[in-house]
Amino acid sequence: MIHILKKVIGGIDAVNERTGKIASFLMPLLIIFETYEVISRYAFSHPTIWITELSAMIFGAFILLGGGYTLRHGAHANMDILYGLLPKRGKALMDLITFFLFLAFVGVLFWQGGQLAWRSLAMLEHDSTEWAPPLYYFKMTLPIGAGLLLLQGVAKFLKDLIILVKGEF
Amino acid sequence: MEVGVTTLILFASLVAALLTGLPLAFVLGAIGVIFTYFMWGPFALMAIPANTLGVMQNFILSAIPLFIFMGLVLQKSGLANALYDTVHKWAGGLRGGLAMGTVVICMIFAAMTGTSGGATVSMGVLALPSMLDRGYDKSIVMGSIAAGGALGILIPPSVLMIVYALFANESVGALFAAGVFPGLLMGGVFILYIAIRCFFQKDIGPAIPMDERPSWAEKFRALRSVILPIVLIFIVLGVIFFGVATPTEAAAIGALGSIVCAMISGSMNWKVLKESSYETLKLSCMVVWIIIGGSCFAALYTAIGAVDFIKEVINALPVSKYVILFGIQLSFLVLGMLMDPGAIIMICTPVFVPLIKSLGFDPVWFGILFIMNMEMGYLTPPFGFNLFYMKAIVPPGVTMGDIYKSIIPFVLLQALCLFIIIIFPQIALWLPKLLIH
Repeated sequence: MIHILKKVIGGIDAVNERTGKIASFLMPLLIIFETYEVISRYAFSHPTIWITELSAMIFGAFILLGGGYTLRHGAHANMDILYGLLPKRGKALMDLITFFLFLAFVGVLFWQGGQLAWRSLAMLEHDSTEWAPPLYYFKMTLPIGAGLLLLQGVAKFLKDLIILVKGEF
Repeated sequence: MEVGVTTLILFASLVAALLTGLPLAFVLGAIGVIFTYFMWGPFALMAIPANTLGVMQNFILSAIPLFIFMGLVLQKSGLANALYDTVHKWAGGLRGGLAMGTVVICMIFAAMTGTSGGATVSMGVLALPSMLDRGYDKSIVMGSIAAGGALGILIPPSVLMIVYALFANESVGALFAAGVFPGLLMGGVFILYIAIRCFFQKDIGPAIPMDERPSWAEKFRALRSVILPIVLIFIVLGVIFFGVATPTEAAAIGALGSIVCAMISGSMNWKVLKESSYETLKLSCMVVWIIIGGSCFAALYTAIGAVDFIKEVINALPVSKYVILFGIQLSFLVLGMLMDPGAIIMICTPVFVPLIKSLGFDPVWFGILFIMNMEMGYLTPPFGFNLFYMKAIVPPGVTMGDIYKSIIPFVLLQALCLFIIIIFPQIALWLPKLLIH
């Protein structure tokens, strides 16, 4: 049983590791676009109509897709003034309980964000700006990112369960 | 339900949930979701993803990963070593010179990075052992590194200022400009304190002996490796202050420039680029996910009328507005001992900024006071980031008690600077006023 659980956890870890590493390379893209905007404004005196919007979308995807990766590496800041005093099993038990708070938030982002993206896709929504890019790709990064985060949360839940039962992972 | 009761329940559950050790981002978001559901029903939950996407499309936030990346690349490209080497050569001959130089390096670091941890860690690794070897007193060594490192959030660029600007609806450029002189003041006060103490107490910061001091040629040679990054800092800040480009564009120029600097110094390689990118993703996600959760929470308590409620209650107090300001600063100080400065800014800004405005205070000035207060938060136990960084770095014999003792004079100096800026708001405000008009 634990063997299977560990396989599931390993699988989720791998998915988020891969996604995070790919997402992290959206940032150099952001550097290039933003610098190009400054150059085209001053050197060609011709600001682009698309870079500001596109950059915001790249940034959004970067952050939303990276949430699971960040959780996998335990890099979401928490307050450990009391939590830090708990023994290993106590921490695992606390995390198992607070998982349901996590689930409430990230679950709503996944579920409601999914509906939002779905409505956008169904009407092939475009932005109401001059450039008018399709919005549904961007809106889909929310349920995808929340889904990845949710998966990583489940992996953490399973890890904590194993720690609670066996005392270690 | 009466708004006072709801406000009380809301903030009580926030505190309770924070104590469980669940990451702040999820605590804030979960409370937002749960209260929204029970107060307005399932349909109201639709607002939450829309709110999140709204946050993501805020142009100013994309400056955060860019500034973080710039700082990381400069740090990983061996700049810390070069800076320390330069300071060692130039200031080593003065009594207490290495400690004063460390504060200067921390100030330069603060102008390269948007966060507070980097300078403390890299100076802790480099400067701490070297100063201890030279016979410096451990108290002055640890204090100067921990306090200098905290300058990161006050001297622009600063991620926390971006967060404040977002929630207070103020200009990032104005906040950055307003942080310059308070930052220089605080660094200067630290340096002065070290100089005075080392002058009177001969053995706490001995000067390097005459025969070990470098020649002038060596001193100038050392400058070469630090000149480019410093030029880059001036370009990035200048571009923002003179309105040539937005903070986000300036951050991108800085990020690109940091890669160029690293290439020129020969330390750029695939590994540095990869590691900086991964690290940037983690740090940015940590900050921005807190903003996502925080905006969910802030939307909730604005909707239930908590902001107006708090404003009315405090305004009805029969005291002068300076007493209220003092009370607010005191509450920040206490929060700073317990919580992460980023989260405090996120939670308190939407509550206090309307109040501050109704009292007739300048929100940019208040932002600077807020940030200066949060610097103390990095140093005050039990929950002070820089104390933990320090503990991880110091040699085994040094206890947490030693670290606490070392920061006391510096926290008092920080409080002094905060007080100076309260009495003389012009120190912070003249630069943004000059640049905006």
